[in-house]
Amino acid sequence: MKEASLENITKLFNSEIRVINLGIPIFADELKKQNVKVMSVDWRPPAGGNEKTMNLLDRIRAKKKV
Amino acid sequence: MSVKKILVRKSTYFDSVSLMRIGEAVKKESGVLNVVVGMGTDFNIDSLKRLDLFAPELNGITPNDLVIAVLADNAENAQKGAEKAEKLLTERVISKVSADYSPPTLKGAIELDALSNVVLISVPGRFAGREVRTALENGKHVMLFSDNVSVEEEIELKDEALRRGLLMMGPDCGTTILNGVPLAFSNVVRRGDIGVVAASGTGLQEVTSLIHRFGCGITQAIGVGGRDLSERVSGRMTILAAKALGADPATKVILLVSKPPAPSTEELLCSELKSLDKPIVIYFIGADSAKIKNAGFEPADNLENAAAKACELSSGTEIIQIVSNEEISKKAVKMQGRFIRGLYSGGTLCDEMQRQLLPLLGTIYSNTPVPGAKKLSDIHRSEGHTIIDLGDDDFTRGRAHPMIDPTARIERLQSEFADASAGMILFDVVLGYGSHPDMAGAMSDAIVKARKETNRNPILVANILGTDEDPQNYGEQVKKLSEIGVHVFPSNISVARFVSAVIGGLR
Repeated sequence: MKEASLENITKLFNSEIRVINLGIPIFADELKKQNVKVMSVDWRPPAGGNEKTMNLLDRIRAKKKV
Repeated sequence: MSVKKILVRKSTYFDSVSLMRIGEAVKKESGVLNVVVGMGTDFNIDSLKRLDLFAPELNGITPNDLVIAVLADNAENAQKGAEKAEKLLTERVISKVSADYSPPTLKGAIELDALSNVVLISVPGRFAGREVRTALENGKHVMLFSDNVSVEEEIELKDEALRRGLLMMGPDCGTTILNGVPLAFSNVVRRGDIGVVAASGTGLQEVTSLIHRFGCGITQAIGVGGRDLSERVSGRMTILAAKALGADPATKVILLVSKPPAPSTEELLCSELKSLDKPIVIYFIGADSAKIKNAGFEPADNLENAAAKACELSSGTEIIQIVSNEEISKKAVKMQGRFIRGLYSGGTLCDEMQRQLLPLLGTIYSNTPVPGAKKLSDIHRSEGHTIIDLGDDDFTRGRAHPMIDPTARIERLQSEFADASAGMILFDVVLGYGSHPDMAGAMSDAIVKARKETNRNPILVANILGTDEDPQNYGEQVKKLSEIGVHVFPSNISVARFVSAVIGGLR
């Protein structure tokens, strides 16, 4: 694999941290307490947690991109 | 006679922390003897069976189904307990609705906040990969707290991140501090000029907290997930993160912390990092330090020493051991009972403690044995000298981590007190954001209760990991344990030295 560019990480080191949180809500609550900008996703298992349907949806999504 | 009340809500999802809090609240209801509120994972089903809360209606439930199981002294109280749980679950849904708008998908959140730069993912492992892909495709760095992600998927996700020049910190990454912002389980650490990369969550917490204690500070502390330096993952993120710190003008010294890497990975890492024009301190727990020195890096002997060496290179002044051997020897007391029991919430602290004590104790049992230690035949029962990691997957599947939820450790503490052969109990209290607001208080209450119930008083030793700027108040946490007679130390290695002083005399 060719050498990864450091540009995006260098940019991150010099930016205000803004977070999107998916999952345990306490992690977003803790960031809010520190006045860090955070957006929570009201996450639910996709396709009602049915992995077969979820994989099928992912395949459709991948095809759409092509 | 006790009575069970079981409710199952099909295809209903709540996160483990919310469920833990609801379970704790129901447990306080009158007449309630035990409660499990959790998703129908294998681990929770095992817990239900162990706690005599299993019932035939639970056959066939899946990890997507929610279970409320209440054991009470009579049918009325069991019913009331279950109703209380349902009420709290409904309130949780209402509070979510009334809070700031939360989009239902990551894609939606990215559209709403295009300037976001980090996505913190802690959904169950089997769903995590697809969310990571979405984040990376949209140019976002990822911190992946979820575990139960396969090594194949980890490699695929890290390669995608490398192609895009993005950080993919994880899976199973609990600690990262970016630009002074502590994410997930991290401490409030002074800004400075030491950049840290670690394939070890509590290792990263301990070194950054000690850097702060020594008066120095950090630029960034980047967690990469415990498997990053394995043969297959071959340091993909460690190398990228270290190179980024190498290119960062604010970073003067780099510190790497990990369990020993696979030999092929170590070779690759050394050749990749040699070109960096900055001093690099390396602590590979249990590894041969001569090899690291020969490769041109600065080796460290333990987590405290790693922090001290990085601070010496940063400040140019000598840093001395926090608690001297003389001081530790003075505190040593006589042990009643033959065996040592370590109940850890931090995996790296558990690992380092086993390696430190193995030469002294000869045989150690663990759920996560280091080379030379033995695997426990039943992880729920200690034998001989036992040092366990309660934060390991075996204990956390479907329930909150022991740094948030003290229940599993308190149950284990009670069994250790009931065992006359347990002479000394070691534990960690990990402070910082993400952690329990008063773990020292929770442990102190449990210790006082266990002493009363068993009329036993094994030696208790704790490492309190954290800084004076953490939200829990470091001084108060020390006081709560010290005043009930727990020997409190500020680093894992001080605890190991105290054990040496008690057992065999500290050199």
